[in-house]
Amino acid sequence: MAYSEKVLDHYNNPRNVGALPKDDPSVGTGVVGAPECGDVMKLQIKVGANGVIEDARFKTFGCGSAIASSSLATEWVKGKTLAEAALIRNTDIVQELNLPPIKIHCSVLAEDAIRAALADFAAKQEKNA
Amino acid sequence: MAEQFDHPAADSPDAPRAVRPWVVNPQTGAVDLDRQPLPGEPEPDYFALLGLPRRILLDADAIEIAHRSLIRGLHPDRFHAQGPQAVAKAQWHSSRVNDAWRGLKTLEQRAAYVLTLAGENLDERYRPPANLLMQVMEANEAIDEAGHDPAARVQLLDLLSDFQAQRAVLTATLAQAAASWDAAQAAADPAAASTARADLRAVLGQARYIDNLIGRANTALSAPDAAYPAN
Amino acid sequence: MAIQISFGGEKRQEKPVVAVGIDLGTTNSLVAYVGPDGQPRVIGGEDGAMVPSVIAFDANGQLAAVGHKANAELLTHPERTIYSVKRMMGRSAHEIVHELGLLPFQVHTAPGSAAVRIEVAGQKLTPPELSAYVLRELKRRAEAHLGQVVDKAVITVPAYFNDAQRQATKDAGRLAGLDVLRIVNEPTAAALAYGLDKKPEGRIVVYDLGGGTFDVSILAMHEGMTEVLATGGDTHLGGDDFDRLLVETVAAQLESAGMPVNGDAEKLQRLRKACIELKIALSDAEHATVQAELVVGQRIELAFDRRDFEALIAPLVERTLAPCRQALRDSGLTVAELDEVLLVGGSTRIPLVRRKVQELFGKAPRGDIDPDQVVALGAAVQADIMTTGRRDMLLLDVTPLSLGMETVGDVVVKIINRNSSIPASATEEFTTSVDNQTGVVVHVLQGDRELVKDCRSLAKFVVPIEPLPAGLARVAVTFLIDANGILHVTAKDVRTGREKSIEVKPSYGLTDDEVLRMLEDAFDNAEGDLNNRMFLDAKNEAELILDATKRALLGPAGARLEPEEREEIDGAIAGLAAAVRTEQAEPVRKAQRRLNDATWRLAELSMAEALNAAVHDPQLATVLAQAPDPASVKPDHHGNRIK
Repeated sequence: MAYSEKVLDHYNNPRNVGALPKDDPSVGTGVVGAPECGDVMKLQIKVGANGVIEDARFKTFGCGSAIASSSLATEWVKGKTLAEAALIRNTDIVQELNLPPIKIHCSVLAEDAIRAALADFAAKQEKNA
Repeated sequence: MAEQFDHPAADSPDAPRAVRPWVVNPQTGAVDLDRQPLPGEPEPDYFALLGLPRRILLDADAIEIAHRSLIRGLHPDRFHAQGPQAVAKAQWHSSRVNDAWRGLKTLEQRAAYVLTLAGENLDERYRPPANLLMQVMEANEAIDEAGHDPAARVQLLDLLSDFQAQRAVLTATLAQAAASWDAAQAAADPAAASTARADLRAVLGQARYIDNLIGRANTALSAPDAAYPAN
Repeated sequence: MAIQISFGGEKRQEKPVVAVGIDLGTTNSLVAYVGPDGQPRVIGGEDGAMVPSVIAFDANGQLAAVGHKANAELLTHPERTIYSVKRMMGRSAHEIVHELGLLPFQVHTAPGSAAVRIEVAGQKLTPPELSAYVLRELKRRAEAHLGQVVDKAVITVPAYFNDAQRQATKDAGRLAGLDVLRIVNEPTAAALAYGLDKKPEGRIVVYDLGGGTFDVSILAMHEGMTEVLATGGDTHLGGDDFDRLLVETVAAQLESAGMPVNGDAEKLQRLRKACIELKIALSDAEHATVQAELVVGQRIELAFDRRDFEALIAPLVERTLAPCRQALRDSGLTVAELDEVLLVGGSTRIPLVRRKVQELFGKAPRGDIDPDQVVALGAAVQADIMTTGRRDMLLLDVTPLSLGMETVGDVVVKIINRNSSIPASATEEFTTSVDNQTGVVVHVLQGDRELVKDCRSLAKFVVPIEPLPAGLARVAVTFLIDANGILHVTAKDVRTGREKSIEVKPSYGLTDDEVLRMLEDAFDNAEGDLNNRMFLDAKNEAELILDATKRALLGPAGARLEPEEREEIDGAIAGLAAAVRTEQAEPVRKAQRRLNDATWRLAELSMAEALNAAVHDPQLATVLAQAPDPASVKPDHHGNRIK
């Protein structure tokens, strides 16, 4: 069974690694973790005036599948509206990357990270409103 | 072959005298490699394999002594003269004793194991305090950025000692929760057990992050080509 | 009560069976045993204790020589002389050709076999078969030295050897006619030998840089128990690599001086030999020169500075330090908690290596062990522990690499972590995902990386499952790493509790059937072994009888013999001594019978003497009152043993 090309690609060449200015009001930051393995993931979105996610960045300290999951998540959220991004499910990530059962928690982590980033952005909006 | 002997009830209270290792007769030290569970006797858990009471707080030396004395008698090297079948059985029994020993070495392992025996699913999501995750994230980034810059490495040492201090607090909390759990089991007090269980889960849910981080920091600091800061 | 009386009045004793310890090295091998005094010692030949692990064949593919003689053949017939077999053990054809790039030999694979075959002098031999030649030579040496059959051995391997490499070593032992009691890790063996007289209670680190492999182990010694806490290493790093660098450097210098050596196997071998001398000389001197004869009759002088040599090998030495740090971390100890540092392997004589080790562990290494012999000595101690029961010692080792299974997406799930004490086991339950599925494929791997491609494939097998609705059937598969670090797999139907048989095909190396077939094929050899065994038994007995007879002749009984009786005995003694020199069992037996017949009256007289002396000893008088009348006692056909 060939290793999923997509995982390998996201593993070897993760996209959108890095950080956006955390205090920028147009940036939402989500930090999540998986207590069983101690992996931590940070995912950031930059939202344009039209409510569309213009850019996304991540940083993950963990296994290859967690890195691939978060790399894919940043690819997917870019260009989506906030509502569309909220619809991304971990099962989509599992399918896309062909993750094995023991690595499903990595995709859960990525889904959690998107939600956390969206929530952070929403909280900032509310505060500034 | 040694005579059959009684096995303690799995949930017997923690009186150490009642606890016996699996295939070794504690009175005579005789090894019975063919011993089967008696009717109604459960398969031995790690504690029963080592002849230790089912408690989270156990003396590290006691665990070592239990393992050493059992493995001395059960190691396959001891059975070479008795032929390949005896060696194969000894392989199996000594592997179980080794597994049990390895699985009960640390306080965290014993806490996790006891909770699992009590039906807790430790794979279920547990959300640690948000500020812990943020702290861990930032520290990880600091480790990555430190590189070989001597000043950054000194900061890394500070960071390391911060997290070591945090870890020490967790360990102390764990020990307290473990003591409460052990006491609640002995007293058969479900309310106290439930409080202790929640505390144990909380500590176990945080320890891993900090352990990983301490590991990464140590690795970064001991990188071979690193300029070691004076300490 | 059975009493035994012999000519000399002392009990005739069978020699106890001796199990030997063997250090099967990349460059050199050694055999050692534990004598009756409990001290281990290596068995030397006329050319020293170390046997080069080199095998030479003649043009017809017949074995020509093993050891020093084969080493000499390396210069004259490099194309049919084979060395560094240890580097090929348990490896795939691809690894041998590309990774090792060692040999001017063809590497073959056969359909239906996972074992690699090396073509040498028209023969296609597997690495275990080649290693068996070296082991047989060591066995022969031990038998010649001990005067008895040796068929039990403990063999050492690098701690970092994987399952396939260990299994290949065990197979080599079997092919050499040895019952391999145990495969022991080299650093552990070294610690065992060290612990024997030093009786340390504490933590020691063993740094073992051999010819082809590097190992580091951290151990705790406590009341006779040697417990390995962690181990690490690199199976692609050793003194040979230092040689290779030196050869490459010197060859480049020669090339620019108009003396090219590349592409000429014989010249390269001569240069390699000179460079090894140079390397050894540089351990004692800041500057060394050696004579080399690359072309017969043409001597050149090679000179090198220690400083330049150290600069050359520094990156390799540095590479050994990472596994040391990892092992230390895995052991959970700090440098300050280590009590001793032991150096093992010839390459640890290099001053740079000693310096680096001392820097890392903050302690001067022990200077009182022989880095070349200590592993074989330790193996002998382990053999003694397992066969005599006279020592209350136990060795508890660890598995160097994690064991895992392949799961969806080419990911490895770990089931037994590295540095787990062995024997270690793990049980996994399998079920079916579709109705009437009859099996689940399991792929077992060894290694600490996340992806299948980065780990070592050990074996693949199918777990048979009853055809039932999906998820109903459950099979528990138990993976057990035995005390040798070798994997065993068993399966059990969870519902019925019945054992299921699983055929595990190794990914590399020989199956059990292949080893058996090779043993059968080697029937001629086996017959040779049998003859040898019979001769050694006969020789043993003959020596005892000769000794006893000579002593009896010197005593009062001897003085009472008639001259013709004496003459007949002397003739029989000379006959037996000559028969022993034929190295054949039958002549020895025949000559022994003649001596038995000749000494009939001598035995009678001796016994009378012995009993006479005894009845004058008041303490024995009562006992002997019940003894048979000496005159009525006749020796049995062995001549010297009475029941």
